[in-house]
Amino acid sequence: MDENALNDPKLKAAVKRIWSDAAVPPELRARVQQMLSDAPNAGVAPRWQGYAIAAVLLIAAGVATWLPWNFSRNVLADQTLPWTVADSMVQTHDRCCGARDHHLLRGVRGDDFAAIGRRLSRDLGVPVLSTALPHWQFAGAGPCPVWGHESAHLLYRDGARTLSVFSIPARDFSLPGKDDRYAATRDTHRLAGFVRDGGLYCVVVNSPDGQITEAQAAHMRDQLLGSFNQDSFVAAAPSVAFAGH
Amino acid sequence: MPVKLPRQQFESLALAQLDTLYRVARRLTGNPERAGDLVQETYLRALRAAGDFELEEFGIRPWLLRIMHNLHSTRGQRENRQPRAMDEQHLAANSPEAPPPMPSDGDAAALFDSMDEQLVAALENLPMEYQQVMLLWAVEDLSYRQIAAALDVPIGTVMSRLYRARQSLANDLREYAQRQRLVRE
Repeated sequence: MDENALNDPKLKAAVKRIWSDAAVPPELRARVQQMLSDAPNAGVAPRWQGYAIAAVLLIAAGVATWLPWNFSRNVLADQTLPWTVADSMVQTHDRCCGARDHHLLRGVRGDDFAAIGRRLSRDLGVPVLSTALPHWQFAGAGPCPVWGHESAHLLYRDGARTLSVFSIPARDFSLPGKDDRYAATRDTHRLAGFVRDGGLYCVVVNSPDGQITEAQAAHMRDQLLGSFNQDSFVAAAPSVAFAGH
Repeated sequence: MPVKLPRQQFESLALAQLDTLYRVARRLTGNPERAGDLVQETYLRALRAAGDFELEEFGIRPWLLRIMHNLHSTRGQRENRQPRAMDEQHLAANSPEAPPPMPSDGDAAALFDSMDEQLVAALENLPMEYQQVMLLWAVEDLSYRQIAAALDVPIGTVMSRLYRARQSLANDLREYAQRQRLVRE
């Protein structure tokens, strides 16, 4: 078929002159652009993708429920800290950072980390990491809840940066065997922990400027693990330096 | 061969058709606010169907236009304001195998070239089906096949509508010119 059979350049040019001036209102353009950019959650996926997403969500929900209670089976050998535990530690960290003073133990000097460790350890039944940290100012220690269980919580500050060291009976979380190490990130919080002799020990460090990396948190955890002393319930001061110090 | 588009490319191609869709919506609705609503609804429908969209021979424009026309048609039915019905018997007579001949007089071409003011009124007097074909052909530069795909009609219908639209415009302008003694009787 000859598509030019009905062509009429003059008519075409005239209609174009008359009808091509309808400009899109700026607010309509903005709304459409917004609609397109917001669309990833608005059902762009074809039907089969919707089913796939639903299936993934279902599986994820199942795993999330199953994970904390089955961690002892060592299924997650990639050493990801259970998200329920990680989130709870971050919440406790933030809450304690906002307190006027963190639970200072009565009758225990603030610089006597051995005494702090012994006191807290007596209540928890597991060794407690209690030590001075280079470049960090000790801000208090006390028993604090993590996911419904009591933990020993030591808090430190360095300007806007904050750091927690948690010691928690690992039995409360059905964590796997000794020497396993964990890491996680929640927003600007870096978490790094390990299991040793029935206890879960975890560093939570928060730097609003985001300059402390997960690797640096993991390095500090490894330093603490290397200096861990079960007999005295304290850890020797690790030689840890964070970026910016 | 149909091609599935990555999400970002789909968005980019769809957004590039905003001007076309708005112009068509203005023709269909005759009202800027209703046109804006129709355009947004068209994009919403397109996004819902984006996962099933495959880039075919004609690109995304006819696909979006078809969504808009279907939407407008559905709205029209819902509001009991259907567009004027076409003379289907007449359309059938103008099959693709036998496209109607175009008028060959030079006067009509000269009229289109010199009477914009009268042409505006003549265009507005066209049935909506004719206006749509005229708009897609003249302003949006769609081929007959693309127009047929966009309006979901046979290509013969596109050619017939275009022919009749041109004939109607030429008649209107000629009558005006004769009244004004711009052309010979």
